[in-house]
Amino acid sequence: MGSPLKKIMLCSSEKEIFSVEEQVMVQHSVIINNMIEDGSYNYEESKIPLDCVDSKTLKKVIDYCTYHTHHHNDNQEDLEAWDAQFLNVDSNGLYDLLMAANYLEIRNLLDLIYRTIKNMIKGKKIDEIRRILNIKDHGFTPEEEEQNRKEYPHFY
Amino acid sequence: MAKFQLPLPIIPDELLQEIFLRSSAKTVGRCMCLNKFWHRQLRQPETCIHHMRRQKVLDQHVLFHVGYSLLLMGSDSLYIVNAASGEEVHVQQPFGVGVHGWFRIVGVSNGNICFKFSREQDDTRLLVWNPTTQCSREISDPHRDHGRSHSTWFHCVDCLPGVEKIDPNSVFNNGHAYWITGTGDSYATPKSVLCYSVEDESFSEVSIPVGAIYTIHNLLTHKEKVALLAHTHNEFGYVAAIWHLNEDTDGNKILEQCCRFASRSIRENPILFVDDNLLLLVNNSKERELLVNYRYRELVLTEYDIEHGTRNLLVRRAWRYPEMPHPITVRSTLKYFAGMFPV
Repeated sequence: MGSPLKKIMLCSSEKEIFSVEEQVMVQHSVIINNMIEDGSYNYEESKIPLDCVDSKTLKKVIDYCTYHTHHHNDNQEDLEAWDAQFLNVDSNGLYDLLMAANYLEIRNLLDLIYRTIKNMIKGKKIDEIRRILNIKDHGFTPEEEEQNRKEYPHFY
Repeated sequence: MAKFQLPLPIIPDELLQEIFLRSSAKTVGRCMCLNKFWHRQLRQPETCIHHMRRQKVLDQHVLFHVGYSLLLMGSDSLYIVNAASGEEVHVQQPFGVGVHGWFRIVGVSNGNICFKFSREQDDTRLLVWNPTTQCSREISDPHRDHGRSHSTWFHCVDCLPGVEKIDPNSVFNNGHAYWITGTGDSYATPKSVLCYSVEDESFSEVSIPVGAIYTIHNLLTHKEKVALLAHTHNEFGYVAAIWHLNEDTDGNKILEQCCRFASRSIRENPILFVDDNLLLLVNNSKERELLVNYRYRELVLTEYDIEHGTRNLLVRRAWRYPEMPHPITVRSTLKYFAGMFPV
């Protein structure tokens, strides 16, 4: 674990540099933690290149990690309210956050996004889930589709 | 929470799978119909097991319940035991049974349990129950003379010409119930597989080929087909064969041998669940001791892996009081999502 005052540099896909408390990222991101622990990060010179995370998303991710590091003792309701506000983004923003959280292995942010999408498809009909998840071609022949309807009438 | 404009950008499959694994079994069932990929993927036994582990608290009752049917007879309560933890879960019984009533488990299929029960003495009914949804449906049972016989074979009156006995253990597959029938008095010789269609309430018969007549026969589902597991003991040890109930080119049902393998000790006990390479047997391994010593009984759940020829112990349960019901629960994998909400 790094000392709370140390800063690390993260570099977005636009080559914008973000300076973050080491502890914040180490606590949340498995891959950054690994990088720091194996000693490959040089505090004087290194910048961690995050080529598949754009600046806007990286800023959000850092916000999330910072808030959750400093407010982890808050009550659950307040944290959930903050999370809900945090996810007040458009669907591309949600997707970018999902991919960034997956790339950086930020477990609780991933869980939050998974939960959000899970709630979107919960109780929905098959056609609605296809629409939400952008599945345009289901690949079933009309006979197979008919067979599915017969076999699992309770899902339709 | 923000309202997202739809559709979402295309999410990679491995992340979608994570989302599905967090969803309820019912949602997963729907997602299975999303497209061909998910239809294949979500039916994988590994996916099902993974999902069950994730949902272990919520969906505990989804576990298959399999009773040791003879012991269940005459009991008035129903237990579900979590095969993984060994903990018992008490569930609301789908029917009430009076002082003179009884019930037994006929079979288990697609996550549903079929009970035969009687509220009072002579009023036998069949009921299919889904432990997850707690929904149940009575199925028509035109032959209400299925007594609470303790013997393996019992007489069937005026059911079909030539059929003298029917094995009370049955399997239920694709809207049909199947039993083994036999002829002869004390030691019945298997004759045919009797098929009952729930939809048209009609019976039909498939004769058992001479080559399939071994010492002991069980019906089960194997690779989503009805299968006859025949086993015997000869000079080489125990031998078992699986015969599938197939249709020939004219649409007639016939039994065809699927595989044959050596086995160490398959006995005359109910078969619980089978997927492609897995047989689960309730095996009363202390059978011989039972005859001498009634104070101690043991129920062992083992799996027999046909592919690797191995046998593994899954659950071992012992009890002191033979009159107490001690069912065992195993998990369904192959049809876990597909069959979860049919009733």
